[in-house]
This record gives sequence, C-alpha cells and structure tokens, in this order.
Amino acid sequence: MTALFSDVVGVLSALGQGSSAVMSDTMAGIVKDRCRAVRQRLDIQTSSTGPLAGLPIAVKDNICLEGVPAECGSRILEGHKAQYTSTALARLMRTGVRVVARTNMDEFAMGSSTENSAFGPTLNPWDLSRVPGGSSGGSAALVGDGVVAVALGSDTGGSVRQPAAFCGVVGYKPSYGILSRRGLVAFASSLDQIGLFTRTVSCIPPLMKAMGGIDPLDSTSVPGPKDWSLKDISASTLKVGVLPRKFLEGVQTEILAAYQEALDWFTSKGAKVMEVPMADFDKGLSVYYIVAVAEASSNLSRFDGVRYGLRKSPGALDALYEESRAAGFGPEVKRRILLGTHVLSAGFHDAYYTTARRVQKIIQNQHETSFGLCDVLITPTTASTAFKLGAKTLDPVAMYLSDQFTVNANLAGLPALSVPCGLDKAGLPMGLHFVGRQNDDVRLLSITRAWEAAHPFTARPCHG
Amino acid sequence: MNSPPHVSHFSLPDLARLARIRLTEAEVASLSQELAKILAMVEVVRQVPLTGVAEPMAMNEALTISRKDEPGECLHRAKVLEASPQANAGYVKVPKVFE
Repeated sequence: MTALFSDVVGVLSALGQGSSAVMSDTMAGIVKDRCRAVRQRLDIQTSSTGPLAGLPIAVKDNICLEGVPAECGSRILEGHKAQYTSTALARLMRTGVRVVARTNMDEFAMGSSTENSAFGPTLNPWDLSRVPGGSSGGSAALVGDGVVAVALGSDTGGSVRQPAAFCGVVGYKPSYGILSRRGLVAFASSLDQIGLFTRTVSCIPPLMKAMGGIDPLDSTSVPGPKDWSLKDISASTLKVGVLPRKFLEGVQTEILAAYQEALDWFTSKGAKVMEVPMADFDKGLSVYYIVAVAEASSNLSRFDGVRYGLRKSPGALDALYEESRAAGFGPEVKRRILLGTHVLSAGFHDAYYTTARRVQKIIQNQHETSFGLCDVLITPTTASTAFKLGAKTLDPVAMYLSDQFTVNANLAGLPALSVPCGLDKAGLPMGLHFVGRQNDDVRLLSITRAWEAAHPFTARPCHG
Repeated sequence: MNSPPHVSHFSLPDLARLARIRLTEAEVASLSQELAKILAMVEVVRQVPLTGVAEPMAMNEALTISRKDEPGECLHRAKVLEASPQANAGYVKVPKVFE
C-alpha cells in the first residue's frame, strides 16, 4: 500500500516497477469501498502513452464523462449518461490517467457532509461513524483512504477544501477561470470551480499543467499560468496575513493550537505575520447563501422532466414540471431553490441579491487590499474536525457554518488550498487553509509546499 | 436600508409555484421554519454600509474570451433524444400544451 500513499511522481515510479500490483490494490479498494464513496466503478484509459499513463484517478459525479452516468447525487438524474466529456477531464485523460471510479457527492454539490446524496451517505475513512465533509466527500474519502492518489472534485464554497481537511488530504481550488467549467454540472456558475484532491502539494502542478488553459467553450476561462513549476520559497521573505482574532471564536481548541504552531513556524523562519484588514470576513457566509442559491434556482430550472432525467407525468405540462421536480430533488436542493427563488423575486431582489452582490464586492476589495500587504492568508480550514453522521442534518444553518473559512475564496475568485496539519485528540485530521492572490496560484502552491515540506503529514487511517 | 421592513416575509406556496416544485403539507411546514432561520442568518448583509459600492463585474479580471460566432461541435440529435424520457418521431414528447 505504500506506493498508493506517495505522491503522483511516486505512484508513477511504482507503476513503472509493477503497475499491476498498484492497480490491483486500487481496484480492491474500490470494490471493497468501505467508505461508500464510489457511485460507479469504471476502468477507462484513453491514452497509454501520456506522461501520467496508468495513474488511477476518481472523478466526482458532477464532472461529465461521455457515455457514463452523471447523476450528481440526485434521483432526478438517476441513470442519466453524459453526452460529452468535461474539458478539464478530457485534457487530463490525454495524459493517460485511468479513471477508476465516479464518486458520491451531496446532491448537486449542495452540502458539507455528503449526507445529501440521494444514494446514501459516504463515510469518513478515519472514523466510519463520521462524515467525510462535502460536497465532494466521495473523492476526499477515496484519497484519504489511500485507494487513489488523485481525485477530482468541485468547489463552490469549500466543497473540495472542507472534505480535504476532514479526510487528511490536500484539497485545492484554483483561481476562478483557470480550469474550464464546461462539463461541470452547474450549481452556482460564478463560484463553481473544479478542484483537486491529492496526497501532497507537489502532486498538483503536473495535473494542473494538463488540465488548465483557456477553453473557447467556457467564456469565463482564463489562460492561467504558463509554467506550473513550483519555486523554492524562503519563508524569511514572506508576509503572512491572519484574520482579526474575533473571527476565530468557536474554533476547536486543537485546531487553534495547530494553526498557532503554523504561524509560529513562519515567524521562526523570519516571516512577518500580520493581521489584515478584513473587517467583513464574517459576512461571506451570508453573501454566499444569497448569491449561490440565487444562481442555483436558475441553473437547476433545466431539470424539469422534459428533455432528460426523471419524468413524472400526471397530465398537464405544469404538473409534469412540478411533480418531476418534487420527486427528483431532495430536501436540501428544494430548500436552496426555494430560497433562491425568494431572493430573486420581485420586491426582494434588491434587498437580498443586489445587496449581497455589493457586499461581495466589499469582500473582494478587502482581499485585494490585504494581498497588497501580505503574500498569503492563513486560517484554519474548518472550525471543527469531522462531525458524526446525522449531527447537523436537522439544522441547515449549523451545516452551512462548516464553510465559514472557505467561502470567501470563492466569492473573491481566489486560489486556496487545505493541507493536513495534524490530528486532534480523537485522532481526526485537521486542515490548514492557505489563500493567495488571484491568478498567482503557482506562488500560493510554492508557499504551501514550503510549509508542507517542514511538516509532512504521514498519519494514515486505521483499517482495523 | 433600501428595502421594505417586511423583507423576510415570504409565502412558501407562492415560492413553490414559482419554482415549479410541488410540496406536501409537511414540507411546507418544515421549510417555512428552515427558510425563516436561513433568512435570519443572511440578514446581516443588510447591515453593511454600501455607499459607493457597485456589484462585481467579473470573477476574474484577467482576459475574458469571446469566440467567433460560427458553428462548431454540438450535441448529437439521436443521443439527445435517447436521453429524453419520451421521444417520438425525432422530437421530445410532452403533454399537450394547447387545448
């Protein structure tokens, strides 16, 4: 199993020395699927000669792969096969990766625990009575459990970084636009980004090099870095931004301690740790739950039982829409569509949606100002480690708070990643959250790698 | 701010009709409570002074591309119809719209 826990480069060298052994371990893990992370087992490799030939990867069930079901954790898309392959995934597949699983997720990526999947929850590899986080919980659990070294997810408000923290892996959300969203089933288009789960930061560049670049079929895509090589960073030259202390209230004691240790390490290396002017950081969650649900109510109007997916057909066309959507959507999706409908409706649009968008601009401005002063912003990824299954399912607001440290990177379109920073007393992984300047992903990854190199995370879940 | 005082008031049956989702009575009861709680949470955005602040224009200030308006690869008709719940004679079939 050792090779499976090494980085991409390590896995590749292991493949060269005996790929069949690695693949049989991977396939055995996928068949066993002790975390219930897999929606569908696959074995698709379109190139045998690319630089990542044979590398097993898992893909979240909202990233389209032609001819393969893309169900998005929803009854309304049960059995629906994608008509084309997402640009980012197609580009990655040219490198020879072997797609071995589609992974479970919160329905339409709405959730922070993967309990909102219509097909049942995924479990945390570190403690099967706990959630893996969400919404990309299946991908996080498979990487966290050592079944695959790389998985794709999507991140609208923290759906890669929060489960990465809960499952003890690296979770990376690029700057908005660096990866094409074509073929990623839309939840909130101005915030959605495909992201990566890996074992280490060093795994990320070869994958991004393959997947990035402008896509004529996504008008919000941007060119991105030409050179993804990570640079050696001297911590002594860095300015590390931290939030005003009041925003850390309520964070689990062990996470606060790990966070402080990380800041102390930067200080000991000569970096300057400084509080940044982020007065409205805590408004991000509220902005998110207006802007994201507004976009969701529009994006999900396409699921109406007419052209694809579930159809309940009691008679008239209006009834077909209403019954198909009633039967096809789960409770959280209905909640967000209704909320989005409300904040966009006549009489409320200005009070909610326009206001939230303007506060979003303030949050963007505060990040821009802060990144004029510092090189990287560091916070905990989450306020707690993985919680018990069912602990928050009856309280949507408590569930939404899971994303309090991650949503602002989406609202400002910034690159961000979560890196494991130890275990709490219960033996559960904790995550450290690094945010960088827009489009300067390489520098962010380089800074994070410098910290990671001095703090390798070697703990693994117990398979007892 | 610039909004009616009863801004968190909503009618769930009206929203359900707008969103084209049929709700059971039990769903109306639970969702009414949940939406009220979420709206109370997001209310905080209305306390932020907004003078001189416009909505953001783009999520990434780097080059936004546009492409030539010319035909390219598109979905295959037969495959699209195959994915539809009900197709007939090359079209997706829906209930009668006009009486």
